[in-house]
Amino acid sequence: MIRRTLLMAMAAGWAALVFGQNQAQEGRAWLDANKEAAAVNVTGLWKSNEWGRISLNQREGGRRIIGSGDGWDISGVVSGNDVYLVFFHKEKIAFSAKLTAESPGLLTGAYASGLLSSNSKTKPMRLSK
Amino acid sequence: MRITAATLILACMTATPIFCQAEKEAEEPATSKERELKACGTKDKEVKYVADTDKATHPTGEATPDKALVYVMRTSMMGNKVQTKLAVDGEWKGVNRGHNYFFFTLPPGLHYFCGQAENRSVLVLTVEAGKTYYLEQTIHMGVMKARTDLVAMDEAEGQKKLPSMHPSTWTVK
Repeated sequence: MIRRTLLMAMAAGWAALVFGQNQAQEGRAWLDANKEAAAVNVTGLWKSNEWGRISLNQREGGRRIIGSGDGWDISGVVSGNDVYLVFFHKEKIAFSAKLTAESPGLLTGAYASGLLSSNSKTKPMRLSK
Repeated sequence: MRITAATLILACMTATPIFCQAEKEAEEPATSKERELKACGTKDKEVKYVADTDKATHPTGEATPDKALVYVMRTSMMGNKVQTKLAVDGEWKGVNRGHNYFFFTLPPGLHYFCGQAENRSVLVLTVEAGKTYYLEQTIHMGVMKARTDLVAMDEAEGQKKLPSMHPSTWTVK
């Protein structure tokens, strides 16, 4: 009985790990489709009425974004003036967004549930510093 | 038993791509679990505290030209006695209870902060030398005890709230 429980726990652990990795890879693939060099650096604390306080971090000279805020784990990429973000909750892709840097302190665009595509039902998104 | 074994085999087969991935770019952790490990460190290195409040003094820090100053505040009295610990890049820095704060300095750059109560909350933040940062450990109801979220506050908001906080004191168990 103990052996069975242990094996089941191990299997569940593996499954969770695989699921998390797969979701991360799926998000990464979506981000990697945007290949332009970064024209802006979005590092800093951003605010939104809907999204709360979000920290975005982009290494100097880099394109990739890692962030967090109000329960979200955020991965992203900067492509030209556009910013692509994926919001993860408990290893699962919850939302994604495409924003444009209007100015150094303003990102505007749209987000959708899951990964954004041409068929996505989008809502406006605005982040300001 | 057969079902369990089959589940295990299936899980292992599905997991194989993880080990076949092309060499990972030298970059940040990809999954939430990896971020949590980077922020909170391993369980065996976790520090347990006996925490108290100093109501007699109100020390403050100063950012230096080569370091950032970080205040960690618990602005609410909710779940007053419940500890909310904080680690940075896997190193435990201190603990707060209701209406407490503490502070420390950090080298500039990207850091992974871990807030812990019943749960763990990760904040990824780039700090600059010479600047001051205010982190808030928010608190809300959990199953057995309070849960926490770790968020970065506006500088103005942090400056406004700090004077009413009491410094946290602690010893390591």
